[in-house]
Amino acid sequence: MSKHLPALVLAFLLFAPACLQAAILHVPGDYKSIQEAVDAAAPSDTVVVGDGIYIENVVIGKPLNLGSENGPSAVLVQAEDPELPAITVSDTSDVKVAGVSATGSEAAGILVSGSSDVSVTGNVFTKNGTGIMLSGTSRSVVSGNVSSSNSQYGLYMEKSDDNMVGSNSSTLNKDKGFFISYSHRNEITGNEVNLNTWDGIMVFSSNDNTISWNKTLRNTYGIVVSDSRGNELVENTTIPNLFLILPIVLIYLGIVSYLAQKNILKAVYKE
Amino acid sequence: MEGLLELLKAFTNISTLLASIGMVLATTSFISGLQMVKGKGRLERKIHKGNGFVSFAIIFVLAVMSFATFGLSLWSLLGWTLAFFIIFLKHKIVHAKNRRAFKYVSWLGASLICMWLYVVYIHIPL
Repeated sequence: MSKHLPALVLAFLLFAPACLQAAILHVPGDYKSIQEAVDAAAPSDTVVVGDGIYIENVVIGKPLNLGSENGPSAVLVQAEDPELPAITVSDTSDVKVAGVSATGSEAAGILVSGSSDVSVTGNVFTKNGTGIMLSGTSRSVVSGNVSSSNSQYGLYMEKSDDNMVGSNSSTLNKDKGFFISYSHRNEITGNEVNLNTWDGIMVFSSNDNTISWNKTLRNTYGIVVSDSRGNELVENTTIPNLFLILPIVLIYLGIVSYLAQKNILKAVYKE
Repeated sequence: MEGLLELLKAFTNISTLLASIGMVLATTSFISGLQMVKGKGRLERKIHKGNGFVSFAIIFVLAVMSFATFGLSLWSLLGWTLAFFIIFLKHKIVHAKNRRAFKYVSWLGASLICMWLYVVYIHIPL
């Protein structure tokens, strides 16, 4: 046995990378449902979802990539049990979810819980309780998503630290655009958080976050920071008052226009 | 400075620009109308009529643009119908010259200003 050991080690070194290469699993080609593909996937595999509506609650508990063939407009995950999130990423790391839509959950479009190094990119979450929910999650990226018309928050972040939330659009949510609660050292940058019923961005009991280059327009309040310290607010556009300022300016111009027209007509008819 | 740029950027939108011009003209017309109720003369009548007519034309164009862009929905149809009804009612009352009805003209004028405020509000882009 010992004289064959070097040959075995060499064979392992030669063939192991090929064996360890990540596989691509197609839905509905290889598997009927997304969950079946996720369950069958080995760590670091990629699940590619074809066009269609998938009525299920997807739970991801291992490192893998979930993506779509033709983007979020072509793939819709509709929560089968509305009390559970449409997509859950739980107690894992190195997960990527990109290019899917999720709807119909009273909990969340996507819940990332107890995980790290998760990437949620280019998805659409509409008509859920909360669009994107991060709970106890760290070092993750949430970018380029659309989270709109949810009954509570566009994005809810709880006890989640060192994450990057960038270039997302969170509009027309019935409560807050972003609600950051008990979360520290996150970077919230370049988001469009408009037309939400209550706050655009609410930071509660969260410290040392950087909130920069966001647009929060036509919410009741633009950015609210409460019970927090060390947060940095840089170059955010928070003109919730544009729709108040503009009519006042226009009425003022109307008065000026009246006086001007009156004087012009006076001058004309005198002659 | 950025706030001012955002404000100016709003006017690159044609419907916002039209709604804003309409609001200015409606305000001018409203003030001259109030002066007319007080019994002031010929110039006020000209200002009132001229500005009122142009602002009516603008609201008509905005309604057409709205239907062309977003299609016919029940709420938009109801909204624009209400707007034209207020304008029509005000016009009728003014021309009826009924003294009892005439005292409500300034209220209708104020309703028209409120209507214009709403028109401006819905046409402010993000």
